[in-house]
Formats: sequence, structure tokens, C-alpha cells
Amino acid sequence: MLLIQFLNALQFSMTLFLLAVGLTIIFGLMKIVNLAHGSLYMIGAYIGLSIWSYFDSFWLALIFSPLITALIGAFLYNILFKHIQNADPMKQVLLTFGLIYIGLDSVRLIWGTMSHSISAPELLSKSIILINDPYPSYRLFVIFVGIFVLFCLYFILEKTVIGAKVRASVDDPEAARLLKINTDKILFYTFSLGCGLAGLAGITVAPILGVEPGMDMEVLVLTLIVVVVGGPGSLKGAIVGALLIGFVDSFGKVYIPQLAQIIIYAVMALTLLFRPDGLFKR
Amino acid sequence: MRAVNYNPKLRLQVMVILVLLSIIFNIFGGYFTRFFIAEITILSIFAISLDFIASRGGMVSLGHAMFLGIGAYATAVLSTNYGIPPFYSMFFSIIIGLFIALIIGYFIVLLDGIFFIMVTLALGEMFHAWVFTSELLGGSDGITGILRPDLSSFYIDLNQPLIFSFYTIFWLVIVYLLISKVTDAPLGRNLDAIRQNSDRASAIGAYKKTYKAIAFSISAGIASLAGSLYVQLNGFISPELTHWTVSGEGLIMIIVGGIGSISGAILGASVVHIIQHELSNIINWWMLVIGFGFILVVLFMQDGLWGLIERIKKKCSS
Repeated sequence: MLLIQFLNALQFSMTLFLLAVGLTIIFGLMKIVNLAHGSLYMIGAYIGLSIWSYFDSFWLALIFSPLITALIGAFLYNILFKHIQNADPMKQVLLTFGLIYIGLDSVRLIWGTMSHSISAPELLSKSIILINDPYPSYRLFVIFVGIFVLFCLYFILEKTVIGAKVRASVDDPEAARLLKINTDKILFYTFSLGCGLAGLAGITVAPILGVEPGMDMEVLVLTLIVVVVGGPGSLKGAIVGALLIGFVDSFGKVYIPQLAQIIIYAVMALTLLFRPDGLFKR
Repeated sequence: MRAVNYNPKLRLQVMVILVLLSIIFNIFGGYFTRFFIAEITILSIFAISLDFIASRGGMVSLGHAMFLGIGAYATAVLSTNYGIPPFYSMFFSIIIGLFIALIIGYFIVLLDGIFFIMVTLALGEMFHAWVFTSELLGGSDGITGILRPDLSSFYIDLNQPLIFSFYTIFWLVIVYLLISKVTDAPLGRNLDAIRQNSDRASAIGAYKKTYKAIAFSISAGIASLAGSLYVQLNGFISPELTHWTVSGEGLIMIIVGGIGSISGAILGASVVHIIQHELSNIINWWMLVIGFGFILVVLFMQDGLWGLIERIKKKCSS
């Protein structure tokens, strides 16, 4: 039983990680909090739903829905986010607030208000026996995707030249520009990547939680908490924050269900009290 | 954010015009218009509370719907469960809002810009989540059957829509007078100083944390009043009211109206609410339009309607 709960918590953490990492990178580079990040997650899931039902292939959906979400992100960056980089935080936040409304209504208009479900691919539809209990192999796959993305990002950020440029742009954009690093281009690509990862979170979670309007709001606040707790702009913070919030939430729901709703906020409050800049300050 | 938006005279003139307009509409309107005016007035009170901390305190709160909720739920619980007359419940609920905000404010007011926004959003959602699970507060069903205050000893019958709208307008005027007083008082000046140059302000002896916490608390008290009036108007309260998007819409209202001018907040609340209401009657994809509207407003309406009024005024006088 404990193992099952552990894995469920891990799976949830990985979904949170995929969401938080995009938000946190965008924050690190642009100092913008994109409240529409949850909407991209929802749109990713819906696009996946369409691809899945049209081509009857989960794998195609898994590949193309993050790509399309990234393209939507690139589009948004070009028409909107590029122009509000130096605006004051209130305006930035309210712009993305407007995007939430647009996202929610677009989804309703295109896909209707019904909730849908996507079935896991053939290969992953069975359960695996772990010690004594059966466990759906699809959830293990989600955990694997999360860890895979973590390692890819870590490798790119820490070991490649592009990663070094990204880090330089986060730490000191002005100095980076002086060193002939094209920060605008880096912003563009990382923003799109972050949106793509939100789409990936959406499509990977769809076979578990289903697809419905309103799923954006459910994850948005959790993702924000992960970013605040982990420390905005930090990859390490995103994974540690996601694990912390994921585990506290999952285990809280099992052991202290009355307080489950409150307990993650308590974690956030405590973090802010003792580490106002988050666990890992960038 | 524009620094200081001072023109107390123009502010008062606009306020008087708005109040007169609402009184005229209230007298000659039907049942529905009167209800609508009460709604707009309550929203205006909420918008003023957001405007005050955003413009003077430099704190943008996405969690203010929590105080709306505290005011509403406190009034509901005190009057239905504990049998305290609604009129007194209202005052208690404002005090509860003030007090809770003072405690929360003490911890969060020094967080800067974007952090403050995220933390207030999360705190508001915490309250929202708690309301949803609390049995005392009726969970997702909320609380129904809340009576309006009984002021028959003053020969006032609040169950009449006409009278109730006047009652909300009365509170709006009180809030307006209070906030314009506070803005022009030392507290407001200190807040201006802190917002513009916090290091220098504390060097000349302004207690940043205390002033900002007090401002946050005053604003929360006003939001609680709005929540309490909301529950008196509708007779029921559901957790919907405490969702963070309510705070977001409040902030849009003050952007439309123009930040920092108290009358602008009222103007913004009226315009946004009327547009929302009319749109949702015509088309069912109104949220899409509203979303685009929000974005355009934020991008292109620099000083909001207040800026427009100022410009017209300047042209007329020159």
C-alpha cells in the first residue's frame, strides 16, 4: 500500500514538475508570471484528445500535442509577451489573466463543455504487479517521462553552450547581451519550450484524470505554489518544490483528509516565513 | 503604475455626478435596475478597496476575494447560527476582516511586486479551498436564508429594492469619504513615500511594515464590508465569491477606471459590470470577448477612464 501511495505521489509530483519548470524558467528569464500556464496545459490535453481520436494513436498525440502547444506559446510570445517585458507586474499578470478567459472559452467553443477521456496506449494499458499490488503501468510511464525531461533539461542547462547562454541570460541579461548572446532569441525558445512542457503535462495526465474545461484552474495554483516554494527561476527549485508539494498533497489526502486542502498552503506559508525567496534562490 | 493621481476636487465632482446618476436611475428604474445598481455599488466598494492598496500601497492583491468572502461568511454565520442581528453582524464581520488582514499583512506586506501577487493568490485559494470543505460554512452549497438588517426602528425597510440600493449607496459614500480622508492624511502620504522610494522613506522614519500592514488591513475591512453587503443583497453566499478570478476582475475594473483615483474605481466597476452583463445576455461566448477586452484595456488604456476625464477637463478649461 505504501509503495502504491509513494508511486502515486511521485507521478503527481512529476506532472507538477513539468508544469512548474516552464513557469519557473519563464519567470527567471522575463520576470513574468504567466497565469495562463494552466490554460496551455489544458489546451495541450485537448489537442492531444483530438489527435488521439482522429488518428487513434496515443503516441502521435504524445509527440504532436506538446509541439503544437509550443507553437501556440511561440505565437503568444510574439504578439504579446515580447511587448510587456518591462511593464509593471500588475499589468503583466492581468494580461495573462485575460488569456485565461480566452483559453477557457475557446476550449468550450471548439470541444464543448463535456468532459472526455483518453485511454492509455495498448502497451501501457495493463497493470504491473509490484510486490503484491497491481499498479497501472501508465503511471510508471508518466514518472519516467518526468525524470527523462528532468535529465534532459539538466543536461542542456548545465552541460551545453546553449544552456550556459540561458543561465547567463537569467543571471544578468545585460552582461549577456554585451557578450553577444542574443537574449531575445533565447527568451523566444525557452518561452516556447516552457509552453510545450505544459502541453506535455496536459497530454500525459489526460489518460489518468481525463480532459475537461476547468482543469487549468485546478493545476494553476498548485504550480504557482511549487514555483514560490522552490524559488522562482531555479530548475532545482522546480523539482524539489514539485516533489515536496506532490508528496505533501498526496499523503495528506490519505492520512489527514480533513486538512488536505489546507496543508500545502501551510507548507508554502512556512517556506515564505523562513525562506522568503524560496528554497533555492536563483 | 502612475505615481500620484491627485486632483481631489475633480475626484469629488466625478463622485457627486456618479452618485446623483445612481440616485436618479434608482428612483426611476424598475425592480431589476435597482438590484443592478446595488450590485454595481457593492462591486465599486470592492474596487475601491483594491484601488487603495494598489495605488497608494503599491500592493496588487489577487487574494482580496478572500476578504469579500470573510465579510460575507462572517455576516451569514453570525446572523444565522448565533442569532446576532444582521446589522451588528456586519460590523463584526468588518472587524474580523480587519483583524485577519492585519495578521496576514504583517507577514506578507514587505514581499515585492510579483511575489506579493503570487502569495495573495495562493492565500486566497487556501481560503477558497477551506470554505469548500468547511461544514460550518456550508461547503460547496454555501449558506442560504440570510436576512437583511432590520432597521424598522429608523423607519427604514431594507426589503424594498429602492431602499436597499440607497442603503448600499450610503455605504459607498462613507467608504469614499473614508478613503479620500486616509489618502490625504499622513498615512496616505507615508504610503506614497514608501512606494516611491522605500529606503529613503524608512530613513526619515516611516515604519514601512506598519504602514503597509495598516493599509492592507483598511483595504481588507472595506472588502469585508462589500462582502457583507453582497450577502445582505442576495440572501445567500456560495464559495464562488471567494475564487481568485473575482479579485482579478476587480483589478481589471480599477485599470479600466484608472488607478489611484477613487472615483475612477467606481466608474470602472460600473462599466465592466454593465458590459459583462449585457454581453452575457447577447452571446454565450462572452468570456472570449471579455478576455480580449481585458488584454486590450491593459495594453492600451494607460490611465483608464479617469485619464480621459482629466484630459477633457483640461481641454475645457484651456
